[in-house]
Order: sequence, then C-alpha cells, then structure tokens
Amino acid sequence: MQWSRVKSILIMILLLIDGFLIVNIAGKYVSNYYRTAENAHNITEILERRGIAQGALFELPETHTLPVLQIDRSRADEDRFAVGLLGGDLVRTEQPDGGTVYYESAQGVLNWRDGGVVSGTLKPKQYTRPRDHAAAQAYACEVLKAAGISASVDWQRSEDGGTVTASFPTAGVPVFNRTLTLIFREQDIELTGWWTFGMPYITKSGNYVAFSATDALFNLISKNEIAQIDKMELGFLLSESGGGRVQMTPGWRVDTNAGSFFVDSLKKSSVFV
Amino acid sequence: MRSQRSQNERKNRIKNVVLLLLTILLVLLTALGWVYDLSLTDLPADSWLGRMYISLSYGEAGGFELRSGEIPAALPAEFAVRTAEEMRGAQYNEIAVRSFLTTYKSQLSAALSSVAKLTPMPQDEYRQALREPGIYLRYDSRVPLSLVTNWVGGNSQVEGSDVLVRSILLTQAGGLWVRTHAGELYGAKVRPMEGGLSASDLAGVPCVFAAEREYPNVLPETLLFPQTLELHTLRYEAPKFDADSTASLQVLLQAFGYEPYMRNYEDAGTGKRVFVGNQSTVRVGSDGEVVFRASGLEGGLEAYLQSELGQEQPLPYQIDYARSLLENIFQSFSAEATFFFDSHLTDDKTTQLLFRYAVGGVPVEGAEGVLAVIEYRSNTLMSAKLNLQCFAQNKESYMLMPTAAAAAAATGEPSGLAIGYFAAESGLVPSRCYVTR
Repeated sequence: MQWSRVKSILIMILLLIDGFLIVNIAGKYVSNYYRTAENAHNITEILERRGIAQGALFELPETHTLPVLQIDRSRADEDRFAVGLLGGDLVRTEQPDGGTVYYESAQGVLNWRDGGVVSGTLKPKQYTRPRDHAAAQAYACEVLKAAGISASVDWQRSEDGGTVTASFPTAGVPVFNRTLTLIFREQDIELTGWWTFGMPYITKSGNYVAFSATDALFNLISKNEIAQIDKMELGFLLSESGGGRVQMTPGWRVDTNAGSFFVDSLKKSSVFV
Repeated sequence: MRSQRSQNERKNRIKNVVLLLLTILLVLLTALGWVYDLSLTDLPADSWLGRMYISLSYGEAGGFELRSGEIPAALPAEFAVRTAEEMRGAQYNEIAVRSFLTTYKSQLSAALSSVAKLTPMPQDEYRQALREPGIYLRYDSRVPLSLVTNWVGGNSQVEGSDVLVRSILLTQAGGLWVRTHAGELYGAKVRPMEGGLSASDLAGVPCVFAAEREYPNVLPETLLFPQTLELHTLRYEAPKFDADSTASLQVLLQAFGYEPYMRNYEDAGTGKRVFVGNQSTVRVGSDGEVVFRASGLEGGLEAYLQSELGQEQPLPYQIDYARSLLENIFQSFSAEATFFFDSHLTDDKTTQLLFRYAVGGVPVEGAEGVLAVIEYRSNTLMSAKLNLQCFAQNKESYMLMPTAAAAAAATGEPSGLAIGYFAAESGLVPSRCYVTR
C-alpha cells in the first residue's frame, strides 16, 4: 500500500517535470518560428523600401553554425593527380619557394599553385572530342578517376555540352569555388579549378561561426547596387591562408540580378563568385 | 478478496509501466532541450559525443576532422629525411615543411611524448647519429619543447625545465636528440620509429649534414644544399583603414571585441584614432601601429578558462589564443605575409609573446619584422602592440650565398645558418646569416 502511494507521488512529480520540459521546448520552437517569420517580414519591408525585388522562389534561409576549416596543401596528392593525368614519365619543376609546381609530359602540362589552384592542358592518347553531354560527362569522370578524384563528386554539364564541372560538399554544404572544370576542345582538354585533397580540419580552439542570413543580406545591399535577390545559400569559400594552407570560410552565396556574391562571415565583406 | 488483490496487482503493473514511460520521456526531453541549445563550442570536440553531434549536424562523418593538437604558431625553418639510400630536405619552404609534418607528425608525437628525461650528450655520438636513417627539423623560433610536442599532437612528460628547441633529430632506431638555442645537446632513448622512412614523397631536394663534410665552424647538423636560393627584395607600407581602402577597420576592431560605432576620438598628440571600451582602449595609427590596452583584468580578453587548464602549462593556450587573434586581425587587411611565434618572456605575473612576419616562409628580421608583442596576466590578454604592414616583392632579387660557401666562410665558435630579410636602403633585403647561441 505504501509503495503504491509512493509510486503515485512519483508519477505526479514526473508528470509535472515532463510537462514543464514539453512547455519549455515547445516555447523555444514557437519563439524561434515567430522570430523567423518576423525577420522575413522585416526583410521584405526593408527590401521593398529600398526598391529591391525578391525573386519568386526567394526564401530567407535558417542560420546554421559552421566551423572555420583548414586544409594543408598535400604535395604528395598533387603529384599523384599529375601522374594520373600526364603519366609517370612527367618532368616536374617548381619555384624556389615551392609555391607553384609545374608538370609536363607528352600528354600535356599542368601546374599547381599555392592555395590549391590548378590549371593545365591535357592531351590524352587517341583523344577525340566527345560529341554530346553524356559522352562528355563519362569522359570527364574517366579522366578525373585516373587522377584519383573520388567518384562521389557532383557533376554539372554546360549548355554547349563541351564543359563539365566537378565539385563536392563539406559539412553538408557546398564549397562554392572548389570546382574542377574540364573544357573539351577539338585538340585537347583544358583543365582549370581550385581543388583540395585530404580531410579539412578544425582544432580544439577553432572558430565556429553562426552568421545570420539577415546580417549577410544587409551587409550585401549596403555595399552593392542590387535590384533583385533570387536565392541565398549557406556554404564555404576557399581562400589561401599562407604557407600552403587553405582556409574554408563559412558565408552566404547570394544570387542577384547583378551576379552571385559571397558574403564572408569573418571579413564581413562581399566578393563575386 | 482475490478479485481485490488482482485489481491491485493490475493497478500496480500499470503504475510501473507509467513510471517507466515517464522516466524515459524525462530523459528524452532533457536530451532534446540540451541538444537544442548545443553547439560544438560546448562539447569536448574529440569525444564520441562530439563526433556524434558532427555526424547528426553536418551529415555522415561531417566531412571534416577535429584535431587533438593545435595549429602550430611556428613551423620548422628546414627539415631533412635520411633513408638508407638517400637524404632529402628543404629549407624556408612552408609547403614542403607542412608536407613533412603531415607525414611524420605521429612518429614525432610518439617519440616526444614518451621522453621522461633528457640527458646531456657528447658531440661525437651526435655526429654518428646524424649519419643514421631518421628525420631532422630545425626552428628559427625559440620554441619550448613542450610546445613542439603539443603542436604535433602529443603531451610532453619531460622532467625539469622546458628547454628552448633549436633542432630535433629522431633516428629510425629510436635515438632522440635535441639541440637547444643555448647550444646544449640533449638526448634520450625512445622506441624505434614505426613505419618506414621515405624521402622521395616529400617536396625536398638532395642535401647533406655539415657533419659529413669538413666544416668545423658550423654546427654538425647544419644542412647543406647544392642549390642556392634567389629571393626578391621587399617593400612594405602600413594598411590604410579609410573609406577608400580594402582594409576593414570593422574587422580589426571586432577581433578585439569592439564595435566600430563605439565612442572614439582622435588623439591630438599622436594623431591616432582612439576607440574607448568600458575598461580598455584600441588605438589605431596611420603608421600601422595598433595598440590594445586593458586598464584592469575585467577589460582584458580572456584567453582560456582557468578551470580547463588543469595540470597543463598555460603557454600553449596563451600562444594559441594570440595566434587566433592575429589570424582574425589578418582578415582585416591584405598583408601578403604570414606570421610566426618567435619567443616569449615570463616572470611571476606576466607573459610576453613576440610574433614576427615571414614572407614566403623567410622571417623578416629586426624591428621591421615585429608583428606583435602580446602581454598576458594569467589567462587574460592585457595588451597587444601591433605593427601592421603590407609587404610586396620588388623586381630586384638577390642570389643568396650557397650553404656550403657560407659554412666554409664561418669563423669562431660553431654556429648555425639561417636566412632572413634585413632592413637596407633599398627595402628589405634577403640574406644568409649565422646564428650563434
């Protein structure tokens, strides 16, 4: 009998605590919902006052915290990439400080610069220019596979069918300028882009940035002449960080009538992407 | 009576189930409430909880890793790898050095973390060890051994005072040799290196130690390269934090936790713009001098929590906070240079850190090369005196004296060889120099 009463009291206490927690969590969600709606309303009002139109599909996205990541330049991986594309008999030369490395063989030329910038001209044996989208993508996939690039990259084809771009996301968001572009010309393939090898990293005291879309938008419209905003997307931008290190800076890409801008969460500045 | 008992039993069973469900719900709701406000700044990032949070928040495996060590505030100026067949190395080449550290970080970490005591060692044995397969690295900075260990992801267990490392030699057989900046030579026996040695994967060139040649006036571990370096002279000017400039005063002030709209005025005496916080000021001069000064502990910048320090030394935390602060400041203008931790001074109450500029991995010597002097009191950054400069290469270049020629020309007590930019009439001129104790 005594235990039964104790259990009843415990059930009452647990009901009260659970109820409190449910109200507390629901309150957070509801307040977040209203704050987001109010933000969107305020943004719309401010944009209208400034004569800036919103695209039909524009929605103010939610803010997520992203880490500021670092990647070390990997000379060994760059070498493997070059050997994969140009063959094992290539000749390698480099600047005295190692900033740029040049590769050359009968199958083309290639150079890797500080910060992961790569460019070159490839002349694979028995090359013929692919004639349609599917063939171009298959060829690009084959070329980059030989260079050791993972098959999990996303592929984009251009309208003319002669250009294929490869990219892959990090931390669930796109890296806007980490792309490899292959342009299939009659005699050769032009390769350009910005690429990184190895896993990006953050250390114990690394920065995590929560840069709201509202702040990014205000930052952008205060410094640029913009008539229409079409889309906002959270992601990273690669930038050289000195000593062969590459920094992945979180920020927003904003597609506008004047082009696509990246609003940097650290520098609070915008650049074309 | 029996029916009464069975009814009680049923009630009791129901109460048990309800209790269990409510307890589970309590745990779930508590977890949900906690996770809602959670970020990676609150979690021990390298814990399983941190990994799980990353997987849930950023997708499978997150696409990035959390490193246990810190980003080094200084890199080795040169390194070499000797295998049974060849020896290759590089100097003042940050990319090659990073590649070397990535490859041999774990072996260095294992060796440095396992040392309990360093013993003074004779030169003869060292000369012999230099001929064995192993790895070698040398710093221009005066870096304590515990800090080097920390940067490669380990924890130093060495008894006694923390020596300032000039160079480290780790032989494949397990011989660890440390040359200090005072010129002393210490050694310890550690476990043989795991994994093979390979010099060809690294972006190095063939080289030899001076111990293998007849150069009595340089240290035996001095690296001699067949090629020499050609470097451009440099010019420099202070960044302009005005409306027409790309330099951002906002970002500079934010690095110190200041808003650009804080109360500010122009100091009539110095012409510097003074931004006034509650218990600190930031002075920004047109000559690149920026001074942050706190009037009391409350006005300073807290680098770390005293409670997170535990038994560890504060220096790695202080240096890492300063490095992070300077990286944020570097976001405000384009310096075309990097920086590195040069040295520190500690007394009972304060610690001073000196950071220098490096261009293309080569340090800028003298007053022109001082980027920052940062002073801590305990865990609080109390003052930072910065000399912000933008560097650019001139067309004029200098061919540096080859290492072998420099080693042959050395006189007096054995010294080391280094490279630096030195102030001259035509700007900053690269030159090879001798480093004595």
